[in-house]
Amino acid sequence: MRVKISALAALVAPLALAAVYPLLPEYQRALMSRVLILSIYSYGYAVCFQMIGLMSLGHAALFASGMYGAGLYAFYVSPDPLAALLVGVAASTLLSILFGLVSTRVGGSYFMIGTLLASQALYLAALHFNEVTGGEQGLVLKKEATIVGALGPLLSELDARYFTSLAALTIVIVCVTILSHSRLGRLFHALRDDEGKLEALGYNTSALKLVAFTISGALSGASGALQALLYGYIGAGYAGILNSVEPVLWVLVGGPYIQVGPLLGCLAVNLLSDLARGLLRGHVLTVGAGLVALAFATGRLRWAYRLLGVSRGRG
Amino acid sequence: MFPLEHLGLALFDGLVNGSVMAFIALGLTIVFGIMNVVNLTHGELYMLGALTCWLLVQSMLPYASALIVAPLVSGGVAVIINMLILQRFGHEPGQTILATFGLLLILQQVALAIMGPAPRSVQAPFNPVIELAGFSYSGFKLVAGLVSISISLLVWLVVEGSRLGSLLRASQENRMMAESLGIDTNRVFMVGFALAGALVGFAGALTSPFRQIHFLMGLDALAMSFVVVVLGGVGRVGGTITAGLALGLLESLTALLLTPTLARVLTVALALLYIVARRLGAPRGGWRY
Amino acid sequence: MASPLLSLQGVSKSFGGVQALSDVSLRVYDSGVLGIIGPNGAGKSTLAGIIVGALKPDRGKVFFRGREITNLTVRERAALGVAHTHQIPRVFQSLTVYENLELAASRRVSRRDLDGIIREAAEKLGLNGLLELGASQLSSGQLRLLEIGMALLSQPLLLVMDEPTQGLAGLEVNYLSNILRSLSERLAIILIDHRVDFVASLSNRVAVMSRGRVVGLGRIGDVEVVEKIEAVYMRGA
Repeated sequence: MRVKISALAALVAPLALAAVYPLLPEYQRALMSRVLILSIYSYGYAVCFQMIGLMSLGHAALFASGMYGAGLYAFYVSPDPLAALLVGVAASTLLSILFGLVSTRVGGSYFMIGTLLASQALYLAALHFNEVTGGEQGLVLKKEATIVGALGPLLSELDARYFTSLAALTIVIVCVTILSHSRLGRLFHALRDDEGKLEALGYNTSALKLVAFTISGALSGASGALQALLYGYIGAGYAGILNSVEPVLWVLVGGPYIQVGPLLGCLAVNLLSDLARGLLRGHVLTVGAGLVALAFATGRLRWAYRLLGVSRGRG
Repeated sequence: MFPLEHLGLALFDGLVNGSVMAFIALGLTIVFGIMNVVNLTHGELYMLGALTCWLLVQSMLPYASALIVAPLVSGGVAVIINMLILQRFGHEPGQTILATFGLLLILQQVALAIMGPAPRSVQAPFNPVIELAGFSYSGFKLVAGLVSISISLLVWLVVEGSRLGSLLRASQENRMMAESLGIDTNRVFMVGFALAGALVGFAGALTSPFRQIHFLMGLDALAMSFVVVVLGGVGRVGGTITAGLALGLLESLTALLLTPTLARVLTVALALLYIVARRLGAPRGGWRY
Repeated sequence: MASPLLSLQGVSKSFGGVQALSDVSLRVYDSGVLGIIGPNGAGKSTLAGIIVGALKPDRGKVFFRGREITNLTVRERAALGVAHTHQIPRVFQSLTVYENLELAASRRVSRRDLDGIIREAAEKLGLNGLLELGASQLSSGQLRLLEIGMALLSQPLLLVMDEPTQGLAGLEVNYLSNILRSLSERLAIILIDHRVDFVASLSNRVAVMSRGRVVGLGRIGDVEVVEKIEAVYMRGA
């Protein structure tokens, strides 16, 4: 029964997103494309935060390594979007192993501080090597190096962005839904509930954490790589701290069902912040105010409280 | 080749920068190290100190006034954050991190609205060039370094030697117990936040004449403060001072060979390595159990 | 007698100057119940921690089936066949009863036999009506049974139970007694509990602990052991 409902939700969500597209005005189409790419990142973050209960404050590094891997490959090596996508995902997956190793050795708030420092180091490194990365200003890819360029003969720029990200997101939703009902998914939940108990049953929890981070890193990096290859732009801003904390907000806002939650949360926050755009620097303020509001609300939201409770480490 | 002629300057500048780094981290040692509250707004309180300084000097007030007003502003904001938000959920770690991260973003945006996106600067009230063995040095920066290290040592004495330190520790370790002994833990936390905020606000004003004032400057201060606090041994004020000085020297020396940004990347990576190697935060008696 | 399944040799452990265990030696054989009784602070839980690998002794050694395991982790000992249950049952709250049992069994049992074995174990423990329920919906007695079920499905040779009657009502204690009695024919159980009558009714042997030492060891009928139990509890330590 549970399986059927979540499988249904996982199928309905992408269909609804495809169906709504013709109804949207041009501005909203562009906005939604961006949100769909970020939703992939949101699912990636949820695999760590929601499934195994570890709150990283450095996921921007994983997103950005995917973006840089893909973007730099397309810029310097070969204008081949598909190869660039793979390079991006490979780069972030490698980096996520480092995050995973940190998570197996460090607990409580030190995990958050550690991941924060890791992403800060990567951000500074991106600035330092600005002759290669373009630093804060970034680099613009040639059109033929992007997915939009490759799809040029078939689809308009707007359509190409929307449907490429929707296709990728659909794959991600299906994979995460399958994962959540698989034995591995149950092990992840067990790990979140009681790591010591799982260990006492003979499971290697360090290996499980590494696997979770690898999946999380691959998805976050895929999101970053798509961002680079659909918009033809890479910049150090995406490695910044704001990009690390936004997925925390998305996942918590999205609610307890991992099949649709990360998408719903990402949609809600970004559409809301788009409404606030008219105000002074709407987006960052929306995220900031949202985090403060959530801090108060989690006292009442049991599932969110449990997630945050796990993040503080078990004694 | 190692540029020997710059070595003297690098060592000296490293010590001065280290004193300043330790001073900026001091508040975080109190709030995070001793009180165990992960306050991510620490860097923004530093930025507020610098912003206050810039605003005062802009309105033709003397620089010295900033050294009084900035601690009041940062300390006041810290107290308000603690009272209106963090205290409401008993400084519960997960909620504290969410809230202070949100406040970090909000404070950045407030600063952006006030001073705009461009970096600002403040003229030093006095700045004689001091000739030392083989190199010259900014007189103001030297004084700022001396003030930093003096206040840091003073705070060390106060926290370790007076009742305040043990009150802060007791309130963190066992709230119920402390309350039952008649300690008003809310007031103790308030004093801790006020002191930490005032110190880092003062540091913000003190360093304004030789650092760029920018709405994003808090982040680097936060990261470096965590680095200093962690490497110094969490909760140890003396350790924070030593770690600040050591890192200042290390960065100066590496910057001779590399660029300052790369030196900073290495410092941050070093702290990360230390956290992982020491297995910080892993529950006592083994990670699993 | 055959070589022991588990043996402790001169184990000592202190926490910040407080001696929790001093020079404890014990042997446990392939089946039957070794009861451990003693007042609060006698070192019973520390002993359990040392056996399962949650604590490392300051001095002394632990052997399991002739092999030294003093420095093995909880997981490594679990793989050798040491299982345990906790004072407050620990199960996975966000999984169902069935999923909890499945996780415990699936490291030992082939996928084909898994379902049958889980249902059989649930039947024995009286959990068969609850399999699809979330673990967070169980009563404390049911949680206790689930935790025992999980320990058993990991197919241990030795089961260490720390205060299994805590939080159970009278009838539930009887039920648990019956289950443990039939289990003890197949595996070794170390039973730590503050209810002397419960431990006495189940144990083949008892160890009486006081202030970190084993002060009496023998069959429950032995005069000497009864005297020790009385002495330990009368002193009100």
